[in-house]
Amino acid sequence: MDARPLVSIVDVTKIYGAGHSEVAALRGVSLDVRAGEKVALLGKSGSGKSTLMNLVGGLDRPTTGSIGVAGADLAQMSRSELAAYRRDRVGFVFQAFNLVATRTAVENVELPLIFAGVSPRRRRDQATRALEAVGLIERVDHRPSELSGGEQQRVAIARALINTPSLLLADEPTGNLDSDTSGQILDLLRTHLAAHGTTVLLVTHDEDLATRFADRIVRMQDGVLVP
Amino acid sequence: MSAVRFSDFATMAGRSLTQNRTRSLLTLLGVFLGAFLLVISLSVGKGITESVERTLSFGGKLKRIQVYPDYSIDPDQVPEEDMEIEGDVAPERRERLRKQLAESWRAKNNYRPGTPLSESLLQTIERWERVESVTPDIQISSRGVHRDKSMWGMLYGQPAAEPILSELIVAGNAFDRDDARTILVHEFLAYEWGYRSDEELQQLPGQTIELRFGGDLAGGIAGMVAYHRGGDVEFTPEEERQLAESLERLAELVDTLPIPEAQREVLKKTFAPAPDESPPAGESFSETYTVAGVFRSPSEAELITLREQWQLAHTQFILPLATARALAQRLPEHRDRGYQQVMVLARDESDVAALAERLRGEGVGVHSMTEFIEQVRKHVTVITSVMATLAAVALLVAALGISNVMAMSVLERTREIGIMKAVGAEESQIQRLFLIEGGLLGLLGGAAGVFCGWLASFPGNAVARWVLDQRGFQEKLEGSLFSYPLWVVLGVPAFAAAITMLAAWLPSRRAARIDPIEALRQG
Repeated sequence: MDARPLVSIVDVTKIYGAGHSEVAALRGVSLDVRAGEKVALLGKSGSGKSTLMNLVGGLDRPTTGSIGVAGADLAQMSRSELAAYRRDRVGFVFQAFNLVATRTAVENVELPLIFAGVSPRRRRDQATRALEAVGLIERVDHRPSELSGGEQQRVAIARALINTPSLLLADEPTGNLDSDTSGQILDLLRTHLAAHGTTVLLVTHDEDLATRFADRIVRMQDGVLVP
Repeated sequence: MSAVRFSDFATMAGRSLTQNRTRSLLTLLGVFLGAFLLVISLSVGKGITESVERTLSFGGKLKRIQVYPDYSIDPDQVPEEDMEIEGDVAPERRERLRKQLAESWRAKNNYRPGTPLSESLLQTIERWERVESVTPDIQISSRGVHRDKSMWGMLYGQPAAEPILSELIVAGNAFDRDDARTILVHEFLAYEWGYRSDEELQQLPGQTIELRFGGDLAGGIAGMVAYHRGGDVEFTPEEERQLAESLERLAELVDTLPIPEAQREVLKKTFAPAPDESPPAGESFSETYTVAGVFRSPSEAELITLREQWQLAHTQFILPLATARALAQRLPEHRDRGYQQVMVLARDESDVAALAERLRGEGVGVHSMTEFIEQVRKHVTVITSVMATLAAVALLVAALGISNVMAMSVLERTREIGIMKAVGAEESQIQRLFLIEGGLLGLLGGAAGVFCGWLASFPGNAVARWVLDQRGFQEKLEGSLFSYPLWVVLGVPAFAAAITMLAAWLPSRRAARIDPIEALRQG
């Protein structure tokens, strides 16, 4: 395991709104994640764990502080650079799967490749192989509505990993699944991440899941990390 | 920005349009109707102009320039005492009256301002570049004497190459050369001269006819009386001589007649012998020509296509043009006052405008079909512009609908947009996706409009022709009244696409600005 921190969060705050309606979601968070490390952000709803994940994923910018990923400061990036960062470096897995309902499984998986300008033939090949790797080769042309929850999440994982990101951000990935399926999904993730040495930030409120999956557990409460 | 393939954008846009078929079709219908109207108005405008051009250019009509003496008079040229307006008159009316006064002064004094269309001017014009030919309109009153019978008639000069002549020939042939000393005689005169049966008529070609010109009053009267009585009254040359002598005596006898003074004066004026100093005006002379053929008057239908040669319907003798021109130079009214009208034929239609301008520079009046067409084109352009503007407004209304529908579509697809952003879509890419979606609607609707406009042109053409027939237009317009130049076929869909892309601008902007976190929280 590489000892250099891949992610370096320094004194990050995030304040929503202004004046009297001001809400501080993060109030000074500092955290290093080493490359290849699997970290679980554990906290209750409203603790700020999802906000932190969105900042690390480049979906939003911190109010103050800096977030370095592989040496680049996300706070300094333009919107277009952030998009490129999300496309090339990060993979997202959400609780609600977030598949495009009108696209088939394989079309959902190849979506990031479209924005990367990959040729139709190559991306179809890549997406099909990714689906094969998550055990869905039979379901390539099915739409999300024709897939079970576990299958949908596997499609989402295939999509998140299609660009071989250095960082996978998973927000309650098993939250909508029964315990059997959850186990399968976690196994799947573990296998693939180990193969590529991918760094993972897992956001969850489930202590058991965090313990089973992560190398390290970081607890959050009211916008700060707690020991 | 990484380069997303255009085909991928187009596929994604097309997919989103087919996702909601009813809505897309309804939006398309609006664009289609606007584009359809636009295509129809543009193609009709273009088609009518082209059709008029085709019709008028038939038989080289567009190469013709009609030249006539410019008689318009500048009121300042008229002596001031003849221009006085009495009474209190408003300035505009005064100006109009002064114009009329100047014109009547010109007529009274037989004053002809401007350049006369003299033979020497014609010969100058003939040497100009880009001039194919110059044809003066020569009409000379004359008497034809044949078989001891004198018949009055109008003589008309025609080029040997004029194709209508051979069509009008009923016996013999038309001319073979412009300077031949041959003549064509009207079939009615031939009849009056005793060539009655069809067989007899064939005898006339090859015979000679004497034409008499000039101020021989008695001969003129005899010829006209004979012509107007349809041959019931005939004068031998001896009788004409007697008539001339009696007319001279009549002038002397007028004083003794028991008639009112006014009538005495008018008779004196009519029969007074020409004063000695006035020749050559009063001089008469004659020429002998061999009859080449006998012609008939053109029919009503032929006259419609002849138009400029309507004189052929009122002519009794036709001479080859060069012969007629030489003859005209021996007649004072033609030699000194010039021709009444001259047709200048340009080498090419494109030379007409420059030639017309050069002719005007010579101080003569000019009229050409090309200038007429310019007028037609102007009118049609105005009408077309109005129609096209209305059609463009229809397209704009459709575009507003698109704006509305796309704004809704952006709302519905907020989550999808959020997902696309999460996986790395840039704002500009999202925006382009929606712009292309809008453009696609315009392109499809525009193309359908062009196609259906083209289909509609077939019944449209038939209906327009039927309406023209009902209104009694005799001139048949050549070809289709609808024209589809490339710029219409490609331009209308492109214009529609541009308009709909403009309509998609705001919704696409909104889509691009969607906050992915908010978007992903939905659902």
